[in-house]
Amino acid sequence: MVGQLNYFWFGPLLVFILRFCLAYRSPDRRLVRRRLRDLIDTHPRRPLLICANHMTMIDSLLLTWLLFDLRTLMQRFSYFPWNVPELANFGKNFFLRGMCYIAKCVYLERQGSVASKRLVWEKISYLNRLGESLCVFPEGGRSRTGNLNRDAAMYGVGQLVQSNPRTLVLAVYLRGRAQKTYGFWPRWGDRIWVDWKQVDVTIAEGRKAQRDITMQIFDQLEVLERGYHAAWQ
Amino acid sequence: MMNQEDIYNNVVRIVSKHAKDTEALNSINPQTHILNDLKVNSARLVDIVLDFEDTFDLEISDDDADRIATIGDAVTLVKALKN
Repeated sequence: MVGQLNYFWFGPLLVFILRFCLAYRSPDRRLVRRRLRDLIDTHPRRPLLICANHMTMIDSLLLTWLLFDLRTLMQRFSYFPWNVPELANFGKNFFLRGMCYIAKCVYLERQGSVASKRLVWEKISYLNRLGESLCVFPEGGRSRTGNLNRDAAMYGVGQLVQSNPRTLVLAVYLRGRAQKTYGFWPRWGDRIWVDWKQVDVTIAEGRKAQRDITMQIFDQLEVLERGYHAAWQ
Repeated sequence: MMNQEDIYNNVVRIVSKHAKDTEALNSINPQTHILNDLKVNSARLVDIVLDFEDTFDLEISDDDADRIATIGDAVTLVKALKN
């Protein structure tokens, strides 16, 4: 409830910064949102798992802005996706911690102990079972290659889907037209490409299956990436 | 039946595929830390464990997998599971 109230000022502030201060444009966003809303309406009680490529530090904010309209988030705050940012990057000061609290985050320590990673896993698995949306970057970090990096795949995403087969898995490709490689944020005034596909994963048991599920998500992300290059490059 | 040397050689072969610090491979030994010394991406530990399972025909639990830090740990674990 506190989070939902926060959205009344945080949501418009976020949109103001992205649209007017950073002047980002995304002509297809209304169509993209409508398609997603239709999917959500078709599967109203299934938790969303947004699996996106990763190139900038503000990808999560851009994804939230571009995938959901304000009405959807006001009516169903559970669709405002939880994020799993790196503590070293987003827990540095009081301001960032405050932002992360409002924007539904679970901190991860990439170089942390096995126990700390297990705790993060328990938290996001719990949120997923509650029906909350999650946004994850299966590459683990921002791609250093300028394109999707399959070699960096983290199989935790497959483990999450395996643990709750009702999860609605979305592969989402997000990238500024001028974005050649990873960076802090897209260039001022950039046109942002966003597109998504639902991934109908084949679920089996075991550790190998976690890898297979993750690779099925990467397959769809690669299809989306080809779409980006075909359209804008 | 694999002896300790066979297990060690196979463990080194599997782990080496994922090492980013190829210089460190020249001085590899049982005390070599897989993440810190060989600079293996932690996400690739799962691939290494899957390769262990295929190569040595065994199953490794998550708890056991989490305990693998060095080449020696991996050899000891495989040897224990094979026996």
